[in-house]
Amino acid sequence: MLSRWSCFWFSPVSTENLALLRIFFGAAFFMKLTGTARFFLGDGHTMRFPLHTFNSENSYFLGSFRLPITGFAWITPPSLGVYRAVESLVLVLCVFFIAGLLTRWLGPLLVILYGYLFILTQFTYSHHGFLFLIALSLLACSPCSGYLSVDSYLGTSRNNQVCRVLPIRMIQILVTTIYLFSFVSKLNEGWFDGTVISILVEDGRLDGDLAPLATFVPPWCLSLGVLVLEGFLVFSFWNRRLRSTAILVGSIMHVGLDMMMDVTTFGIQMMVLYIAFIDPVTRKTAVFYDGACPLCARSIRLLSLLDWFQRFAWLDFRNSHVRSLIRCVDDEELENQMVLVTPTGGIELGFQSWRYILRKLPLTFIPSHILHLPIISNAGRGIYHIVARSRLGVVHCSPGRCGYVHPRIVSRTEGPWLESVRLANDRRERSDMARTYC
Amino acid sequence: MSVVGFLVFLVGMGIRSIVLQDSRFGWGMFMHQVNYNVTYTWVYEDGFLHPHVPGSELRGRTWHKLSPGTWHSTWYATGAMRAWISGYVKYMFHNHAPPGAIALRADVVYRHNKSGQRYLEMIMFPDFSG
Repeated sequence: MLSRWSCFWFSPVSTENLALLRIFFGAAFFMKLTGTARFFLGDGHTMRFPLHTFNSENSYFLGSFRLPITGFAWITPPSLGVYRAVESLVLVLCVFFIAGLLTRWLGPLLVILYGYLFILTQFTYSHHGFLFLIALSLLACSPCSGYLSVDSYLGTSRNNQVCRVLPIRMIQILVTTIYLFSFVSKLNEGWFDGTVISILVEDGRLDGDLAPLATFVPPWCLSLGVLVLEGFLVFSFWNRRLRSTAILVGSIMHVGLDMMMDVTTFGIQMMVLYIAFIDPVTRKTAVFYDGACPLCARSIRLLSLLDWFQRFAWLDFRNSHVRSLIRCVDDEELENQMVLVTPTGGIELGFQSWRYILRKLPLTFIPSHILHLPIISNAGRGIYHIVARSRLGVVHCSPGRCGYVHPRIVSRTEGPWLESVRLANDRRERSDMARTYC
Repeated sequence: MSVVGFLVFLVGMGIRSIVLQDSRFGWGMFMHQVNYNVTYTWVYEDGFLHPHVPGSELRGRTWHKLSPGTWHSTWYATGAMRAWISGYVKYMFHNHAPPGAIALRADVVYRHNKSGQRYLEMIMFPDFSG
């Protein structure tokens, strides 16, 4: 029991997820600081650097105000000038945080300064401000600058490529807790009969592009829909099979809400935090492509640019050493189509391998689900075979003549992917033996 | 310890928000809309009551949340409304109490989701009810 607890919280993990969280969550924070609070903004919106949300005309707190929270009463508000200076400094630190510059020092400083502004503005408390504070605190205390950062480029971050899974788990628990308590608090009559949605319509809170939907759909239908979705998201992130569905459903829900009403940056933050649920399984998925085909090489180059989690090992099957390792597929299959071996030893061929790759890349994750529709899927298979055949006849080049894939992109012939290929080979051998026996 | 502390913090805040009907810090926004109307009264030693009219200390958003005699609304539930009003009452008593005043009282009328039942509540500082 204790070992499972330790494994859950403290097992080693790559810091790539944390790096992406740092960049995207920092970007969402930057949006908040500059007033770009929604994806779908009204006309005439301009960003302000910095926004200066506090001003004398619209003061948040009372003169000589003391925070009415036990333990924080000693904190007094600053003058307007000091407030603005702090807010500007937070904006600058946010840019450094996104870039990953001196993150170990500037990250905690950013959290302290933002926390100071946050606790002074309790008359305008908002969940999105609170979420920024918690998530930034977790990221600032984690080794989130191990990848994709100025620190890692300069070599100033200390061995931060691998860390304990603790900060990732904390963010996962945070997301689940938000959905859990949001769901529980909505279990009341106003949500069951749709009164809450009617009030939002009546008060003019639904002002986005999708707002007319509320006039066509019965209010109870919308409110029950939100309840069901939030209830589903509480547990589905923890089920490996439902996880990608949860990410898709959650993203659609938040984009839909953002297009319907002003929820500031809350939806954007939640979608960014989903990154914590993406298992990088670094370099465990092997993709075997034809290194003698310029089209394949260019495709691999493009896909590798989008592979932010470093999930895939890109391997040229014409490399004799690589070829000798593959026993799970025959030569004809390798020549005819792209072959992909999943971390569990599963094999995907041709169009299915493309679909698998697109489903695992952050940018193409949502649109890739269209490829599962029967019509699109059948058309995709047909198109893939046409392109694959023409590749052999028209654009084929002799071995060693296609120098399109940079040596840095092509994976080494040793790595975590070997284990996946070994599993696939074993499975194939067992299957062959069973067939022979029968 | 950090793990346990973090879990206690998150779950504790969530439970607090449900128990106190204060969705701040507890992720329960849009539980229901609270519509409330507040009036303030200074209480003097001899039992005399005098209405309090806020001055320039209420501006911008604080005015929109705490100004007397008009209906306000919040999606952060009744607990948040109580916290804001009691914070203001406490602040006023400490900083701007007129001579002889022994307390500042806020009488709040509120209901849920506009059409719900009306509730009356008194928030006073200092609270003599014990």
